Formats: sequence, C-alpha cells, structure tokens
Amino acid sequence: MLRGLRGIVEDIGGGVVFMGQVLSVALFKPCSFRSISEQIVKVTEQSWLTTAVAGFFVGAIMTVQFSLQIQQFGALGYLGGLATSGTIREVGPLLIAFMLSGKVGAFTSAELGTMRVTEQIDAIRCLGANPIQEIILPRWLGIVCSSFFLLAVGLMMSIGGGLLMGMFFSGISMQEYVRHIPTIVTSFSILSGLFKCLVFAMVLASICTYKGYTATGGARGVGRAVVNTAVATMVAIVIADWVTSVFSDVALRIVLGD
Amino acid sequence: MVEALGRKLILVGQEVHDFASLLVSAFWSSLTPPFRLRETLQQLSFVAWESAPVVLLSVSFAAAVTIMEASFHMKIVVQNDSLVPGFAALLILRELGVVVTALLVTSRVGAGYAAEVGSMQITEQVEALKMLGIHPIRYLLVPRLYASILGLMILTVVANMVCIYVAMLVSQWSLGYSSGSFLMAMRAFVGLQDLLFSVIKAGVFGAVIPIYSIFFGLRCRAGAEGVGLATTSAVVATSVTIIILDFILSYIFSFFY
Amino acid sequence: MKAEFKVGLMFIAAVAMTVAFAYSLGAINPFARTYDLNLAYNFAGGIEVGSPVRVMGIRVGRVKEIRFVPDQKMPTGEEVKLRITVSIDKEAWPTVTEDSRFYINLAGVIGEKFIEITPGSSSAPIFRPGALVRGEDPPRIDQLISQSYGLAGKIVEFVEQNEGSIIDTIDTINKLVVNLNQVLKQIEKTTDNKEIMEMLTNLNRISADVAYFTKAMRSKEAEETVLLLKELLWRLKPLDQKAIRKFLQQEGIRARLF
Repeated sequence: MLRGLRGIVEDIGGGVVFMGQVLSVALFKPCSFRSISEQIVKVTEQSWLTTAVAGFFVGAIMTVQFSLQIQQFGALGYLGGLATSGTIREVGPLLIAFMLSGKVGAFTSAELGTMRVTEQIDAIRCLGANPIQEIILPRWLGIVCSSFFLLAVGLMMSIGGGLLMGMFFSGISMQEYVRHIPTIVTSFSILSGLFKCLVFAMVLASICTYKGYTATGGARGVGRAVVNTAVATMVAIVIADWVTSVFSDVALRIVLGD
Repeated sequence: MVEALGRKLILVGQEVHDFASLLVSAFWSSLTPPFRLRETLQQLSFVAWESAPVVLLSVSFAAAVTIMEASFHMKIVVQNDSLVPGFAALLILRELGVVVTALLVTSRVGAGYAAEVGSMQITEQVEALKMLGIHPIRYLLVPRLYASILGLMILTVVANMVCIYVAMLVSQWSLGYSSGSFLMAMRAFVGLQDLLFSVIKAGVFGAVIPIYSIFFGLRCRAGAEGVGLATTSAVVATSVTIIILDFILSYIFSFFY
Repeated sequence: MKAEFKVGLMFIAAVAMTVAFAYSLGAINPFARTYDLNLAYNFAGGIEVGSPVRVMGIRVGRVKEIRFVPDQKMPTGEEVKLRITVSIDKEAWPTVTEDSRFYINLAGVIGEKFIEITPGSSSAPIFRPGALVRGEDPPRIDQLISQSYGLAGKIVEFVEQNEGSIIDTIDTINKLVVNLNQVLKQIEKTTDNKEIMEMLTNLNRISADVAYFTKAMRSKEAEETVLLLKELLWRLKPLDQKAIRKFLQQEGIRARLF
C-alpha cells in the first residue's frame, strides 16, 4: 500500500520534471513544423474511425437513457437539448477520451517504449541529438493537436448518433430534435466541452510520452508501460474531468456575475 | 488491384475465422472440466482486488462531476435542482458506473493479459504448452474468463455503491441536500432492477475483455514492438466493443424498465 | 494476504452494499415487523405494488399485493372488486383504528401515488391483522376533466348572456357616482368637517363596489356556478398534477377556453 503510494508520488514527480524538460526544449530548441504535422497526420489517420464510432454510440446511449427519463415528464421535446448538452458537457469528452487513451496513448507509449528498450533513444543521444527535441516534442504537440481534433469530431458524431436514436427510438422528428438544441446548449457549454477536450488531450499526451520514454526491461517492460499508461491516463482524465467541471462552473459564475 | 483486394479479403477472412474458432473453443472449454479453480481464484483477486483502488478513485470523481452536471441541466430545464439525486443516481447506475469500471478494467486487466500472453507467445511458452498436450485456450483463457466476468460484476456493484455514496456526499456539500432527502429523491427514480441490469452488463463486458486480450496476445509478433501492438489492439478492440455492446444492452433493457 | 481472503472480502463487500442499497430503496426491510391489512377499492388510480403507505404523512409500509376479486363483498353488501394488501409497521399499527380512513393521495414533483391513512380515534378498536377494510375511492381525473369542460362552457355562456346586464350595472354605478358627487359637493358647501368627508368618500367607493357585485351575483345560475367551481378547485388541488399538466399542455383546450 505504502509502496504503491510512493510509486504514484514518484511517477508524478518524474512526470513534472519530464514535462519541464519538454517545455524548456519547446521554448529554446523548437522542433521543425514538418515533424509535428507528420505526427498529426499519423495519429489522426490511425484513430479517426475508432473515435467516430465511439462518439456515435456514446451519443446514441445518452439519447436512449435520457428519453426514458424525460418520457416520465411528458417533455420529450427537450430530449434533443438535454441529451446533446449532457453529451457535449460531460459524458462525451470523458468516454471518447477513454477510447483515445487506449488508442493513441497506448500506441504511443508502446512505440516510445520499443524505441527505449531497443536502445534507439540512446542511439539518438549518441549521435549528439536531443531525443526530447527529436522524438518527444513533435509527438507531444502532434498528439495534443490531433487528439483535440479527434475529440471534437467524436462530439460531432455523438450529436449525430443522438439525433438518429431520437428519431428511431423515441420517435421525435428531426426538426423537433434539432429545434431544442439551441435552447439548452449554450455557447458556454460548447466552450466548456471543447476546453475539456483540450485538457484531456494534454493529459493524454503528457502521460503516454512520459511512460513510454521511461519504459525499461525488454518486451515485458513495453507491455507494462502500455498497461500503466492506459490506467494512469484514464484515472488522470477522470480527475481532470472533475477539475475542469469545477473550473467551468466557477467561470460561469464569474461571467454571470454572482 | 483485384489481386490486392483478394489478398486483403483472404486476410480478413483468416482473422474472422481465427476469432470465431477461438470463441468456439473458449465456449466449449469453459463448460467442460477441468476448471483450474485455484488459478481462477488468483486471477479473480487480480481483477477485483487489485483494480479496486483505481476504479473506486475514478468513479468517485465521476460521481462528483455527474452531480455537478445534473444540477446544471436541472437548473436550465426545471429551474430548480430538486430532482438532481434521482437523475444523477440513475445515470450512475445505468451507465457511468458500469462503463467507467469496465473501461478501466479493460486498460488494466485486458492490457495486462494481452501483454502477459503476448510475451508468453514470443518466448514460445505457448508452444511449450501445446507440446505438453495442454490446450492453451483452456489453460490460459478459461480461468481468466471466469475471473474477469465475476470480478467485473463484483467491482461494478462496489463501484456503483461507492459512486452513489460519493454523489450523496457531494450533493450534501455543494447543493445542501441532507442524506435523507437525497435518498427520498433517489428512491422515486431508481429501482433494484437498475443495479441488476448494470451487473448483467458488467458480466457481458467482463466476458469481452479476456477474449480479445488472449486473441491478440496469441497473435503477438516477436519483439518489443509486437507486444506493444498486441496490447494496444486488445485495449482498443475491447473498448469499442464495450461501447457498442453497452448501447445494445441499454436498448434492450429500455423495454424492461 | 491470501487471494482467498481478498476475493472473499470483495464479495462480502459487494453483497453487503447491495443489501444496504436495497434497504435504502425500501425494497427489503428485514428489521421492521409488519402487519398486513386488506383494503378494498373500486378505483385505485395509479397505485402499484411497492407504492408507499403513510400514516399522518410518515412512511410506514408499502403496497404488497394488488388482486382482482370479482365476488368480493363488504359486510354492507357493496360489491368491491379490487383488493390491495398493504403492510404496516408494527409501531404505527395502533394508530390505525376502525374509524381511520384510507385515501389515495399523491406527492412530490413527479406525483408519486401513495395510500394515506388518517389516524383513528384512540377509543375505536384497532384492526386485527389481515382485516378487510373499505378504502375511499379517489375522484376520477377523467370525470373531473369532463365536468370542468361543462363548467367552462357554463361560465362562458353566463358571461355572454349577461353581457347587457353587466354593462347596465356599470352605467348605473356611473350615474350613482355622479349623483354622489353632487351630494358631496352639496355637503362640502355646507360643512367643513373632514371626517364626514372621508366617510362619505369611502361610502361612495363601497356603494360602487357593492352595486357592481350584487347586480352580477344575483342570478341563480351564477350562484350555482360559483359553488361548482369552488368544489372543483377544492377537489383538483390534491390530485394528479402530472395529468393536469399534461391535460393543460394539450393545445386546443386553451383555444376552447379562451
């Protein structure tokens, strides 16, 4: 128990130091734009289908669950707004980010871990290059950009999935469903959803690069790094979800002025 | 062009065939003895006990967020937040509790199994099993299958309850509910069948996790890269399947509420 | 720790939590000893198995069973075909005596139906467990609604018919006021007493009001209408708010009323 806690604290400390290194490299020795865009294309290409499918079904699930509740009140007209708002503000980013932590996070940490245990990273250092500048930074930036983009796409798909289920499961016409979306989904909700996506993308990118970069011990070690990455990312995302919710709640109060 | 398409089709057909034969032999060997109860127990402790801290921590935060979001929406739609406990408890019991638990277990247990079996495969331990006349699916999959199904069911119950308890605490703290009024508002919405359905869901998800993990683990190619790839594929395939199955099960259960 | 212990602990925790949850939902209650009572109704709108039973507003039990008994007869000879078995906590049992009355009531925003038992007088004997009692049939909402249709029609009819007389009344009051003004001026000329002035002004107002009301109220039909309306409102008050809301939401009724 104590050892586990100590491990967690060490992980956090190591992660902060690592992110500090990445940040200082980003400020003083930036990598080429080309290598970043390569990463963006690679990650997006790999994951868009998974994200889109996941987003679609998340939206569909939310609509089914909400319509059961709202029917009790005879207020099915609100379904469109409520399901969309619930999906965009919380459940959508959370579940799609979970999906991405499996796809992007695990993949990246496996890739970096392989590089580490096959001593490719050390080879780069021997050649006089900075491995953080050459491999980590472009990956980090690429994952942040493309994850943010993928999460946004997933949210769009979830709206589509919700709409489709609203039509087929709850029997609401498309116009009726769409008409109520703007009454409940404010631009603030959309901003808060996108803000969550951005935070999740950064959490995801940081954890998977750190865990992959520090993998040790052959093929087993890579497997362990992947497992740790996936678990740590998910836990961190749930916590970040709470923090951003509190944050946007406070921000909303400040904007409304009370 | 046509040739490439044909080759691709054959490859896909091969994979489908492999997966189907794995399913069949998993089904067959999970119903016939020997069962390796000792190993199942070990695995059960791995799934249920060792995942518990991570799962409970995560669902606690998820519960806090759910309460906050539910009160946000209630304030918009009905202008007060008197129904928040009902809605939040419902969302937790029907969706969030079981899905978040299953996805976390996927990344912990599923990825762990894939990495473990993958490294067994590339160090030729699986071949050794076959030489000894032991069927690797019976030996590796069946204990993990039972452990994962049972473990996820237990975890889901515990996670749901902790989640609701945390939701109660958060609503006391931020919305000013007393625990009695929270329970009253929850009682109007939630029934015991909600817990039952979420346990059924957990059982289904629990079966998905080791099947994919073992499938990808046994197809692991040599080297560190192979293990990484197998693990990643297992996690992704399991997560997507869980989301889709969750949708299907929610749809089916919606006719029984 | 052995694996058996860990697994056993988790399993016990899960079972214990399930039991606690079921207890807090009121699905099981192993501690309270209860007695059963059979209630006979001809109409029990919305009561289901599991609906709460309250004495003086406090939950003391739930509906255990609902049965159709085609040949059930009360001692008075009245045929009552529905039998609802309720369980009542031992503690609350002595407060339910033979002159208690058993209403079907509803509570909360979503209109949960429950059986309300009024406390009987302490001089009346308490029931023996399993006794059969006649409950008070609730008013039927559909009948009430059809009555209120008729009532609304009557009101409109009344106003239309008496339009002339209402205008007449106003004219009369106008004339009266003019007359009074003249009288007041006369008085003002003759006296400076302020109190008399105020009294007269008040009298002026009162007489105007009274003239208006009495004229309109005098018709017999109006009196009946007011009585009916009062009764309807009194009965509608504790009724199913959900159904009323739904009924009021149905467009068209507004058009018919106004």
